[in-house]
Amino acid sequence: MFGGAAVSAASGTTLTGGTATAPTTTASGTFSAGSLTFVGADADARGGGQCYAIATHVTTTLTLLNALAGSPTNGDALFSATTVSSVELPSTASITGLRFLLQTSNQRMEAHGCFATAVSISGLNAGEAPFIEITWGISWFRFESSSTFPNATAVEQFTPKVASRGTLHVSAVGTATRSLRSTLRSFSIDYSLGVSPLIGPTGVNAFQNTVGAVRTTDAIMVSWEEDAEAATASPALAGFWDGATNYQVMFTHNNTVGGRLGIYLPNCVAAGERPTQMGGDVNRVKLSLQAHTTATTTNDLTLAAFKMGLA
Amino acid sequence: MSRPGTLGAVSYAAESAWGEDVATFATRLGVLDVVELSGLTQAKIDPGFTNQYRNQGQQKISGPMGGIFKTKHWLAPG
Repeated sequence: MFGGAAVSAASGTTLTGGTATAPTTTASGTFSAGSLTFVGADADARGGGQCYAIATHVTTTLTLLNALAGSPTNGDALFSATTVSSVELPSTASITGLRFLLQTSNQRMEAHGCFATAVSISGLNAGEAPFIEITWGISWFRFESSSTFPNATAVEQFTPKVASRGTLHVSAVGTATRSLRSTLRSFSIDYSLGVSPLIGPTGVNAFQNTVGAVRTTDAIMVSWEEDAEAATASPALAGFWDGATNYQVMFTHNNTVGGRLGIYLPNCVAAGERPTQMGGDVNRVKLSLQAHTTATTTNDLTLAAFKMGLA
Repeated sequence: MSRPGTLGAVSYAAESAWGEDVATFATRLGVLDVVELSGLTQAKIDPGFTNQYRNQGQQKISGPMGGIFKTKHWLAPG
């Protein structure tokens, strides 16, 4: 529903050395520019199993957009990740229709010409398991009884891990230096899909008037809350809002192999209300940023305003 | 007879042409919660004829199909 999904490399590799921003890899030129990866293992003081964004992978130099905690050592693992991303080019705005078989223990329904109209990503806070809810628009449907229920097709069922041992990196675009929000308390993404159905007379069903759909402009907002600071005339999050800097945001939800989830917004600007302070049991501060297309025009992946890595 | 509402399955396939009349669904998705069909809609439209008696009426027009359904999935690597 976001438009793009591809593995960052056919397979992972290892690091042999290099620096925190430009590790040296065993494999040569295998990771796609703009894709996401996970590096190392928990508490190794280098990659930490966290999510990283790849600028380029030229020969054995992997240039990262957000740096490791320390220079890698020989044998550190570099993981290929499935990178789900928004698409940005006008030429990739078209949508392929999907058909669904919705089976209950009574009625079964075929839905044809389906397309995502909304998504909601939740469960990103510490201790929560992440999930996505997708709202599907349809073009036509019908009852059916020829399928079997229970359905014998193997199910693609994958179990997540709860948020733990993740990080939130926020730095100016172009500055890879590791910069973590150390008192992160909550994190959320509000992704409003821009999709417009095409209405016309050329459907295949007598009661169908939706004959296609096209991506329009998404609205992608990221927000987080962190602890309030001691009294200061220049609080940190208010400083984000005051300036005219573009920021990159990398959120790692979990750093455990098989449950790793990272969300990367490479080019964000301050949006919404100026951070002041929120009351409650303890004082908190909240900042919202809006994600936009990057300036790296190589392809849809390097342009993408939103990326999600899974490994 | 009604059967348990918590039981269900969701399968899908990509279409070659928008809305094509094909009934194969190769992939079964791991979904959460109940499969809910009530969002699939097709309304009867009142023809609005002018009548001569207070409660006179006619057959209504079958409208276009539309509506939505939702699926919920864990975000986890495959």
